[in-house]
Amino acid sequence: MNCQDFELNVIQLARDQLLDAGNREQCLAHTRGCLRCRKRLEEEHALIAEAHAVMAVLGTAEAPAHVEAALLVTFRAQARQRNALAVRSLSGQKRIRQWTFGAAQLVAAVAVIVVGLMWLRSGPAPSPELSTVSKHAQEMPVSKGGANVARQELLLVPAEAQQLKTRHRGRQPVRQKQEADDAATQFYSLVEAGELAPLESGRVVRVEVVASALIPFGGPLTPETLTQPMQADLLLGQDGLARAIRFLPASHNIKTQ
Amino acid sequence: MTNKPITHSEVELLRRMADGDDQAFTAIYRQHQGAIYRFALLMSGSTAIAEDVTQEAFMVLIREAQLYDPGRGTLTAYLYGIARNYVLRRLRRDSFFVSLMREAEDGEDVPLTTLVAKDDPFSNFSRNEMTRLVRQTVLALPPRYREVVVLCDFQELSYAEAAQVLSCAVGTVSSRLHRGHALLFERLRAVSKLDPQTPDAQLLRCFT
Repeated sequence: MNCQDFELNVIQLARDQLLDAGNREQCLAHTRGCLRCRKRLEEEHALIAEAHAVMAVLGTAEAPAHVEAALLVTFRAQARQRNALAVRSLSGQKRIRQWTFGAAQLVAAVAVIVVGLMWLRSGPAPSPELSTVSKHAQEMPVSKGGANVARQELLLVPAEAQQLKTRHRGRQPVRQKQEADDAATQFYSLVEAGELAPLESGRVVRVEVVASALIPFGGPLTPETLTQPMQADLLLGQDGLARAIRFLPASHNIKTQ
Repeated sequence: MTNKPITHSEVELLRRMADGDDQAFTAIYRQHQGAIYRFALLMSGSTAIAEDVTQEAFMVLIREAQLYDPGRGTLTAYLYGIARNYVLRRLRRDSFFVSLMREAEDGEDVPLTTLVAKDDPFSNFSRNEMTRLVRQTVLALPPRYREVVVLCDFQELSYAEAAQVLSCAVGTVSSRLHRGHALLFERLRAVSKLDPQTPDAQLLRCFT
Protein backbone atom coordinates (compact mmCIF):
# COMPACT_ATOMS: atom_id res chain seq x y z
CA MET A 1 0.00 0.00 0.00
CA ASN A 2 1.30 3.44 -0.83
CA CYS A 3 0.50 6.79 0.84
CA GLN A 4 -2.21 7.62 -1.69
CA ASP A 5 -4.09 4.39 -0.97
CA PHE A 6 -3.65 5.02 2.72
CA GLU A 7 -5.14 8.49 2.37
CA LEU A 8 -8.26 6.98 0.85
CA ASN A 9 -8.80 4.85 3.94
CA VAL A 10 -7.44 6.96 6.75
CA ILE A 11 -10.72 8.53 7.88
CA GLN A 12 -12.59 5.26 8.01
CA LEU A 13 -9.61 3.69 9.75
CA ALA A 14 -9.65 6.44 12.36
CA ARG A 15 -13.41 6.06 12.75
CA ASP A 16 -12.93 2.33 13.12
CA GLN A 17 -15.33 1.77 10.23
CA LEU A 18 -12.96 0.07 7.83
CA LEU A 19 -14.86 -3.12 7.26
CA ASP A 20 -12.30 -4.97 5.16
CA ALA A 21 -9.91 -6.63 7.65
CA GLY A 22 -7.20 -7.15 5.04
CA ASN A 23 -7.30 -3.53 4.01
CA ARG A 24 -7.17 -2.47 7.62
CA GLU A 25 -4.08 -4.61 8.25
CA GLN A 26 -2.37 -3.13 5.20
CA CYS A 27 -3.13 0.40 6.38
CA LEU A 28 -1.75 -0.28 9.86
CA ALA A 29 1.34 -1.93 8.38
CA HIS A 30 1.83 1.13 6.21
CA THR A 31 1.75 3.45 9.21
CA ARG A 32 4.49 1.42 10.84
CA GLY A 33 6.80 2.20 7.95
CA CYS A 34 5.62 5.71 6.98
CA LEU A 35 6.05 8.49 9.51
CA ARG A 36 3.95 10.96 7.54
CA CYS A 37 0.96 8.62 7.33
CA ARG A 38 1.35 7.68 11.00
CA LYS A 39 1.06 11.36 11.90
CA ARG A 40 -1.86 11.69 9.55
CA LEU A 41 -3.69 8.87 11.34
CA GLU A 42 -2.89 10.44 14.70
CA GLU A 43 -4.37 13.74 13.49
CA GLU A 44 -7.54 12.01 12.42
CA HIS A 45 -7.76 10.21 15.76
CA ALA A 46 -7.30 13.52 17.54
CA LEU A 47 -9.99 15.21 15.48
CA ILE A 48 -12.47 12.43 16.10
CA ALA A 49 -11.62 12.47 19.78
CA GLU A 50 -12.31 16.19 19.83
CA ALA A 51 -15.58 15.64 18.06
CA HIS A 52 -16.52 13.12 20.73
CA ALA A 53 -15.50 15.60 23.38
CA VAL A 54 -17.75 18.22 21.82
CA MET A 55 -20.60 15.76 21.75
CA ALA A 56 -19.93 14.82 25.34
CA VAL A 57 -20.42 18.45 26.27
CA LEU A 58 -23.45 18.69 24.05
CA GLY A 59 -24.82 15.34 25.12
CA THR A 60 -27.53 16.81 27.26
CA ALA A 61 -28.28 19.76 25.02
CA GLU A 62 -31.91 19.65 24.01
CA ALA A 63 -34.51 22.01 22.73
CA PRO A 64 -36.03 23.98 25.60
CA ALA A 65 -39.40 22.97 27.00
CA HIS A 66 -41.22 25.89 25.44
CA VAL A 67 -40.51 24.44 21.98
CA GLU A 68 -42.28 21.23 22.93
CA ALA A 69 -45.16 23.16 24.45
CA ALA A 70 -45.56 25.31 21.34
CA LEU A 71 -45.45 22.26 19.12
CA LEU A 72 -48.05 20.47 21.24
CA VAL A 73 -50.40 23.44 20.99
CA THR A 74 -49.96 23.46 17.23
CA PHE A 75 -50.42 19.71 17.02
CA ARG A 76 -53.67 19.81 18.99
CA ALA A 77 -55.01 22.68 16.93
CA GLN A 78 -54.10 20.85 13.77
CA ALA A 79 -55.79 17.66 15.01
CA ARG A 80 -58.94 19.57 15.92
CA GLN A 81 -58.99 21.25 12.53
CA ARG A 82 -58.46 17.92 10.78
CA ASN A 83 -61.31 16.32 12.75
CA ALA A 84 -63.61 19.22 11.98
CA LEU A 85 -62.77 18.93 8.31
CA ALA A 86 -63.39 15.19 8.39
CA VAL A 87 -66.79 15.67 10.06
CA ARG A 88 -67.71 18.40 7.57
CA SER A 89 -66.61 16.22 4.72
CA LEU A 90 -68.68 13.28 6.01
CA SER A 91 -71.80 15.40 6.45
CA GLY A 92 -71.23 16.88 3.01
CA GLN A 93 -71.03 13.42 1.48
CA LYS A 94 -74.20 12.37 3.28
CA ARG A 95 -76.01 15.44 1.99
CA ILE A 96 -74.82 14.75 -1.55
CA ARG A 97 -76.06 11.16 -1.29
CA GLN A 98 -79.46 12.35 -0.10
CA TRP A 99 -79.71 14.88 -2.91
CA THR A 100 -78.72 12.28 -5.47
CA PHE A 101 -81.31 9.81 -4.20
CA GLY A 102 -84.03 12.48 -4.22
CA ALA A 103 -83.12 13.59 -7.74
CA ALA A 104 -83.20 9.99 -8.96
CA GLN A 105 -86.67 9.53 -7.46
CA LEU A 106 -87.87 12.72 -9.10
CA VAL A 107 -86.52 11.71 -12.49
CA ALA A 108 -88.14 8.28 -12.20
CA ALA A 109 -91.49 9.83 -11.29
CA VAL A 110 -91.34 12.26 -14.22
CA ALA A 111 -90.41 9.43 -16.56
CA VAL A 112 -93.39 7.36 -15.39
CA ILE A 113 -95.75 10.30 -15.88
CA VAL A 114 -94.43 11.05 -19.36
CA VAL A 115 -94.73 7.42 -20.46
CA GLY A 116 -98.26 7.25 -19.08
CA LEU A 117 -99.29 10.40 -20.92
CA MET A 118 -97.80 9.16 -24.14
CA TRP A 119 -99.67 5.88 -23.76
CA LEU A 120 -102.97 7.64 -23.19
CA ARG A 121 -102.51 10.08 -26.03
CA SER A 122 -101.48 7.51 -28.59
CA GLY A 123 -104.17 7.55 -31.30
CA PRO A 124 -105.00 5.58 -34.50
CA ALA A 125 -102.40 4.78 -37.11
CA PRO A 126 -101.02 7.80 -38.92
CA SER A 127 -102.56 8.77 -42.26
CA PRO A 128 -99.45 8.36 -44.45
CA GLU A 129 -99.56 4.66 -43.78
CA LEU A 130 -103.22 4.52 -44.83
CA SER A 131 -102.69 6.38 -48.05
CA THR A 132 -99.74 4.20 -48.93
CA VAL A 133 -101.61 1.03 -48.36
CA SER A 134 -104.65 2.39 -50.15
CA LYS A 135 -102.82 2.20 -53.44
CA HIS A 136 -101.99 -1.43 -52.83
CA ALA A 137 -105.55 -2.07 -51.97
CA GLN A 138 -106.66 -0.60 -55.27
CA GLU A 139 -104.25 -2.75 -57.20
CA MET A 140 -104.61 -6.00 -55.36
CA PRO A 141 -107.82 -7.20 -56.97
CA VAL A 142 -106.24 -6.67 -60.36
CA SER A 143 -102.97 -8.40 -59.68
CA LYS A 144 -104.26 -11.28 -57.60
CA GLY A 145 -107.80 -11.06 -58.42
CA GLY A 146 -110.31 -12.02 -60.94
CA ALA A 147 -113.01 -14.56 -60.47
CA ASN A 148 -110.43 -17.33 -60.14
CA VAL A 149 -109.17 -16.20 -56.83
CA ALA A 150 -109.96 -18.77 -54.26
CA ARG A 151 -112.15 -17.46 -51.55
CA GLN A 152 -110.66 -18.85 -48.51
CA GLU A 153 -110.84 -18.02 -44.93
CA LEU A 154 -107.66 -16.50 -43.74
CA LEU A 155 -105.59 -19.19 -42.08
CA LEU A 156 -104.76 -17.48 -38.92
CA VAL A 157 -103.95 -19.36 -35.80
CA PRO A 158 -105.64 -17.99 -32.70
CA ALA A 159 -102.36 -16.88 -31.19
CA GLU A 160 -101.51 -14.85 -34.24
CA ALA A 161 -104.90 -13.26 -34.27
CA GLN A 162 -104.56 -12.46 -30.61
CA GLN A 163 -101.13 -10.96 -31.27
CA LEU A 164 -102.57 -8.77 -33.97
CA LYS A 165 -105.29 -7.62 -31.69
CA THR A 166 -102.81 -6.89 -28.97
CA ARG A 167 -100.50 -4.94 -31.23
CA HIS A 168 -103.25 -2.66 -32.39
CA ARG A 169 -105.05 -2.21 -29.16
CA GLY A 170 -103.25 1.00 -28.44
CA ARG A 171 -103.70 2.46 -31.89
CA GLN A 172 -107.48 2.42 -32.16
CA PRO A 173 -110.27 3.11 -29.80
CA VAL A 174 -111.41 -0.23 -28.45
CA ARG A 175 -115.10 0.38 -28.87
CA GLN A 176 -114.86 1.50 -32.49
CA LYS A 177 -112.71 -1.49 -33.35
CA GLN A 178 -115.17 -3.88 -31.74
CA GLU A 179 -118.09 -2.44 -33.73
CA ALA A 180 -116.11 -2.57 -36.94
CA ASP A 181 -115.20 -6.19 -36.34
CA ASP A 182 -118.84 -7.14 -35.79
CA ALA A 183 -120.12 -5.47 -38.96
CA ALA A 184 -117.29 -6.44 -41.26
CA THR A 185 -117.29 -9.24 -43.81
CA GLN A 186 -115.08 -12.24 -43.42
CA PHE A 187 -111.40 -12.00 -44.50
CA TYR A 188 -110.83 -12.89 -48.14
CA SER A 189 -107.48 -14.30 -49.06
CA LEU A 190 -105.53 -12.39 -51.68
CA VAL A 191 -103.12 -15.24 -52.46
CA GLU A 192 -103.46 -18.81 -53.64
CA ALA A 193 -103.55 -21.55 -51.03
CA GLY A 194 -100.16 -22.92 -52.08
CA GLU A 195 -98.60 -19.53 -51.93
CA LEU A 196 -99.44 -19.04 -48.30
CA ALA A 197 -96.26 -18.73 -46.34
CA PRO A 198 -96.47 -19.21 -42.60
CA LEU A 199 -97.67 -15.99 -41.10
CA GLU A 200 -95.30 -15.11 -38.27
CA SER A 201 -96.56 -11.65 -37.73
CA GLY A 202 -98.70 -9.14 -39.45
CA ARG A 203 -100.76 -6.06 -39.08
CA VAL A 204 -104.19 -4.91 -40.06
CA VAL A 205 -104.41 -1.60 -41.84
CA ARG A 206 -107.69 0.17 -42.51
CA VAL A 207 -107.88 1.53 -46.03
CA GLU A 208 -110.46 3.11 -48.27
CA VAL A 209 -111.24 1.38 -51.53
CA VAL A 210 -113.85 1.69 -54.25
CA ALA A 211 -116.82 -0.59 -53.70
CA SER A 212 -116.22 -2.25 -57.07
CA ALA A 213 -113.23 -3.96 -55.46
CA LEU A 214 -115.80 -6.34 -53.95
CA ILE A 215 -116.67 -7.77 -57.36
CA PRO A 216 -113.93 -10.48 -57.44
CA PHE A 217 -115.08 -11.68 -54.06
CA GLY A 218 -118.75 -11.75 -54.95
CA GLY A 219 -119.70 -9.12 -52.47
CA PRO A 220 -123.14 -7.62 -52.31
CA LEU A 221 -123.16 -4.65 -54.70
CA THR A 222 -125.78 -2.53 -56.35
CA PRO A 223 -125.26 -0.16 -59.28
CA GLU A 224 -125.69 2.74 -56.88
CA THR A 225 -122.95 1.62 -54.57
CA LEU A 226 -120.53 0.47 -57.25
CA THR A 227 -118.53 3.65 -57.39
CA GLN A 228 -118.86 4.60 -53.78
CA PRO A 229 -115.85 4.42 -51.50
CA MET A 230 -115.89 1.97 -48.70
CA GLN A 231 -113.60 0.96 -45.97
CA ALA A 232 -111.67 -2.27 -45.79
CA ASP A 233 -109.19 -3.92 -43.45
CA LEU A 234 -106.05 -5.11 -45.17
CA LEU A 235 -103.92 -7.78 -43.51
CA LEU A 236 -100.26 -7.27 -44.24
CA GLY A 237 -97.78 -10.03 -43.53
CA GLN A 238 -94.31 -9.66 -42.02
CA ASP A 239 -92.93 -9.29 -45.55
CA GLY A 240 -95.18 -6.30 -46.22
CA LEU A 241 -97.36 -8.16 -48.79
CA ALA A 242 -101.12 -8.08 -48.51
CA ARG A 243 -102.48 -11.46 -47.40
CA ALA A 244 -106.15 -10.87 -46.97
CA ILE A 245 -108.84 -8.22 -47.02
CA ARG A 246 -112.22 -7.73 -45.49
CA PHE A 247 -114.81 -5.08 -46.21
CA LEU A 248 -116.75 -2.95 -43.86
CA PRO A 249 -120.26 -1.88 -44.67
CA ALA A 250 -120.58 1.43 -46.50
CA SER A 251 -122.64 2.80 -43.63
CA HIS A 252 -119.76 2.18 -41.28
CA ASN A 253 -117.77 5.29 -41.48
CA ILE A 254 -114.86 5.35 -39.21
CA LYS A 255 -112.98 8.50 -38.99
CA THR A 256 -109.43 7.59 -39.51
CA GLN A 257 -107.78 10.89 -38.93
CA MET B 1 -26.28 9.74 18.27
CA THR B 2 -28.82 7.01 17.74
CA ASN B 3 -29.89 6.34 14.22
CA LYS B 4 -31.75 3.08 14.49
CA PRO B 5 -33.84 1.79 11.62
CA ILE B 6 -37.50 2.58 11.90
CA THR B 7 -39.28 0.16 14.20
CA HIS B 8 -42.81 -1.11 14.25
CA SER B 9 -43.45 0.91 17.35
CA GLU B 10 -42.31 4.03 15.50
CA VAL B 11 -44.67 3.23 12.64
CA GLU B 12 -47.43 2.73 15.19
CA LEU B 13 -46.54 6.04 16.83
CA LEU B 14 -46.67 7.79 13.48
CA ARG B 15 -50.05 6.23 12.71
CA ARG B 16 -51.42 7.31 16.07
CA MET B 17 -49.95 10.74 15.54
CA ALA B 18 -51.72 11.01 12.20
CA ASP B 19 -54.94 10.14 14.05
CA GLY B 20 -54.40 13.10 16.35
CA ASP B 21 -52.90 11.31 19.36
CA ASP B 22 -50.80 13.98 21.06
CA GLN B 23 -49.10 11.43 23.32
CA ALA B 24 -47.75 9.69 20.23
CA PHE B 25 -46.46 13.00 18.93
CA THR B 26 -44.82 13.75 22.26
CA ALA B 27 -43.11 10.36 22.21
CA ILE B 28 -41.76 10.94 18.71
CA TYR B 29 -40.66 14.45 19.60
CA ARG B 30 -38.81 13.41 22.73
CA GLN B 31 -37.13 10.57 20.88
CA HIS B 32 -35.72 12.77 18.10
CA GLN B 33 -35.60 16.36 19.23
CA GLY B 34 -32.20 16.10 20.92
CA ALA B 35 -30.42 14.90 17.81
CA ILE B 36 -32.09 17.50 15.62
CA TYR B 37 -31.37 20.28 18.09
CA ARG B 38 -27.70 19.33 18.42
CA PHE B 39 -27.32 19.03 14.67
CA ALA B 40 -28.76 22.52 14.20
CA LEU B 41 -26.61 23.85 17.01
CA LEU B 42 -23.44 22.41 15.51
CA MET B 43 -24.36 23.68 12.08
CA SER B 44 -25.26 27.20 13.17
CA GLY B 45 -23.49 27.75 16.49
CA SER B 46 -26.64 29.49 17.67
CA THR B 47 -29.13 28.22 20.22
CA ALA B 48 -31.80 30.51 18.82
CA ILE B 49 -31.41 29.06 15.35
CA ALA B 50 -31.25 25.55 16.78
CA GLU B 51 -34.55 26.11 18.60
CA ASP B 52 -36.21 27.54 15.52
CA VAL B 53 -34.94 24.76 13.32
CA THR B 54 -36.07 22.06 15.76
CA GLN B 55 -39.49 23.64 15.94
CA GLU B 56 -39.75 23.98 12.17
CA ALA B 57 -38.67 20.39 11.56
CA PHE B 58 -41.41 19.05 13.82
CA MET B 59 -43.91 21.54 12.44
CA VAL B 60 -43.34 19.99 9.04
CA LEU B 61 -43.89 16.56 10.57
CA ILE B 62 -47.17 17.77 12.10
CA ARG B 63 -48.41 19.42 8.93
CA GLU B 64 -47.21 16.90 6.38
CA ALA B 65 -46.64 13.63 8.18
CA GLN B 66 -47.97 11.81 5.14
CA LEU B 67 -44.94 12.95 3.15
CA TYR B 68 -42.67 10.75 5.21
CA ASP B 69 -42.16 7.39 3.51
CA PRO B 70 -40.63 4.73 5.80
CA GLY B 71 -39.46 2.85 2.71
CA ARG B 72 -37.10 5.67 1.78
CA GLY B 73 -35.27 5.99 5.06
CA THR B 74 -35.47 6.41 8.78
CA LEU B 75 -37.54 9.06 10.48
CA THR B 76 -34.34 10.48 11.94
CA ALA B 77 -32.86 10.91 8.47
CA TYR B 78 -36.08 12.53 7.31
CA LEU B 79 -36.00 14.99 10.20
CA TYR B 80 -32.30 15.67 9.66
CA GLY B 81 -33.05 16.47 6.05
CA ILE B 82 -35.72 18.99 7.01
CA ALA B 83 -33.49 20.48 9.69
CA ARG B 84 -30.59 20.77 7.28
CA ASN B 85 -32.70 22.68 4.76
CA TYR B 86 -33.91 25.08 7.43
CA VAL B 87 -30.44 25.63 8.82
CA LEU B 88 -29.01 26.44 5.42
CA ARG B 89 -31.91 28.77 4.74
CA ARG B 90 -31.42 30.54 8.04
CA LEU B 91 -27.69 30.83 7.55
CA ARG B 92 -28.22 32.36 4.15
CA ARG B 93 -30.81 34.75 5.50
CA ASP B 94 -29.17 35.82 8.71
CA SER B 95 -25.81 37.43 8.84
CA PHE B 96 -24.51 35.69 11.87
CA PHE B 97 -21.14 35.11 10.43
CA VAL B 98 -18.67 37.65 9.12
CA SER B 99 -16.23 35.97 6.84
CA LEU B 100 -12.91 37.05 5.50
CA MET B 101 -12.81 35.49 2.11
CA ARG B 102 -9.95 34.10 0.19
CA GLU B 103 -9.76 32.25 -3.02
CA ALA B 104 -9.70 28.56 -2.35
CA GLU B 105 -7.63 26.10 -4.24
CA ASP B 106 -10.60 24.85 -6.21
CA GLY B 107 -11.65 28.36 -7.10
CA GLU B 108 -14.53 28.76 -4.69
CA ASP B 109 -14.72 31.32 -1.93
CA VAL B 110 -13.87 29.82 1.42
CA PRO B 111 -13.82 31.81 4.64
CA LEU B 112 -10.41 31.83 6.26
CA THR B 113 -11.47 32.80 9.72
CA THR B 114 -14.97 33.51 10.87
CA LEU B 115 -16.71 34.92 13.83
CA VAL B 116 -18.94 32.57 15.75
CA ALA B 117 -22.52 33.26 16.66
CA LYS B 118 -23.05 35.76 19.41
CA ASP B 119 -24.84 33.37 21.72
CA ASP B 120 -21.97 30.94 21.97
CA PRO B 121 -23.19 27.84 23.85
CA PHE B 122 -19.77 26.28 24.13
CA SER B 123 -18.29 29.17 25.97
CA ASN B 124 -20.44 28.12 28.90
CA PHE B 125 -20.00 24.42 28.54
CA SER B 126 -16.36 23.80 27.78
CA ARG B 127 -13.07 24.77 29.28
CA ASN B 128 -11.15 22.77 26.83
CA GLU B 129 -9.48 25.15 24.41
CA MET B 130 -8.87 22.55 21.78
CA THR B 131 -12.50 21.49 21.81
CA ARG B 132 -13.58 25.07 21.41
CA LEU B 133 -11.13 25.60 18.60
CA VAL B 134 -12.37 22.55 16.76
CA ARG B 135 -15.93 23.68 17.15
CA GLN B 136 -15.14 27.17 15.89
CA THR B 137 -13.22 25.82 12.95
CA VAL B 138 -16.08 23.53 12.04
CA LEU B 139 -18.41 26.51 12.10
CA ALA B 140 -16.06 28.25 9.70
CA LEU B 141 -16.28 25.47 7.12
CA PRO B 142 -18.39 26.04 4.05
CA PRO B 143 -21.83 24.51 4.66
CA ARG B 144 -21.39 21.67 2.18
CA TYR B 145 -18.37 20.37 4.15
CA ARG B 146 -19.67 21.42 7.52
CA GLU B 147 -22.84 19.34 7.24
CA VAL B 148 -20.87 16.23 6.35
CA VAL B 149 -18.41 16.73 9.20
CA VAL B 150 -21.22 17.36 11.67
CA LEU B 151 -23.22 14.34 10.55
CA CYS B 152 -20.33 11.88 10.27
CA ASP B 153 -17.87 13.03 12.92
CA PHE B 154 -20.14 14.55 15.54
CA GLN B 155 -23.46 12.77 15.06
CA GLU B 156 -21.65 9.58 14.07
CA LEU B 157 -23.82 8.70 11.13
CA SER B 158 -22.45 6.21 8.64
CA TYR B 159 -21.64 7.38 5.13
CA ALA B 160 -24.81 5.74 3.87
CA GLU B 161 -26.99 7.45 6.46
CA ALA B 162 -25.39 10.80 5.78
CA ALA B 163 -25.95 10.27 2.06
CA GLN B 164 -29.61 9.65 2.82
CA VAL B 165 -29.89 12.88 4.78
CA LEU B 166 -28.08 14.93 2.17
CA SER B 167 -29.73 13.23 -0.78
CA CYS B 168 -26.44 12.48 -2.44
CA ALA B 169 -24.19 9.53 -3.24
CA VAL B 170 -22.08 7.78 -0.62
CA GLY B 171 -19.00 8.63 -2.66
CA THR B 172 -19.93 12.29 -2.45
CA VAL B 173 -20.12 12.05 1.33
CA SER B 174 -16.73 10.39 1.45
CA SER B 175 -15.03 12.96 -0.77
CA ARG B 176 -16.65 15.89 1.05
CA LEU B 177 -15.56 14.46 4.38
CA HIS B 178 -11.99 14.18 3.14
CA ARG B 179 -12.08 17.72 1.87
CA GLY B 180 -13.71 18.92 5.08
CA HIS B 181 -11.04 17.30 7.22
CA ALA B 182 -8.31 18.74 5.03
CA LEU B 183 -9.79 22.22 5.47
CA LEU B 184 -10.11 21.69 9.22
CA PHE B 185 -6.49 20.71 9.63
CA GLU B 186 -5.34 23.51 7.38
CA ARG B 187 -7.26 26.11 9.38
CA LEU B 188 -6.33 24.68 12.73
CA ARG B 189 -2.69 25.01 11.75
CA ALA B 190 -3.23 28.48 10.33
CA VAL B 191 -5.14 29.72 13.37
CA SER B 192 -2.45 28.47 15.74
CA LYS B 193 0.08 30.68 13.90
CA LEU B 194 -2.03 33.86 13.98
CA ASP B 195 -0.64 36.97 15.52
CA PRO B 196 -2.36 37.48 18.87
CA GLN B 197 -2.68 41.24 18.17
CA THR B 198 -4.74 40.87 15.03
CA PRO B 199 -8.49 41.35 15.29
CA ASP B 200 -9.09 37.83 14.05
CA ALA B 201 -6.92 36.39 16.72
CA GLN B 202 -8.80 38.37 19.37
CA LEU B 203 -11.98 36.71 18.27
CA LEU B 204 -10.34 33.32 18.56
CA ARG B 205 -9.54 34.02 22.18
CA CYS B 206 -8.69 30.46 23.03
CA PHE B 207 -5.43 30.75 21.11
CA THR B 208 -4.17 33.89 22.71
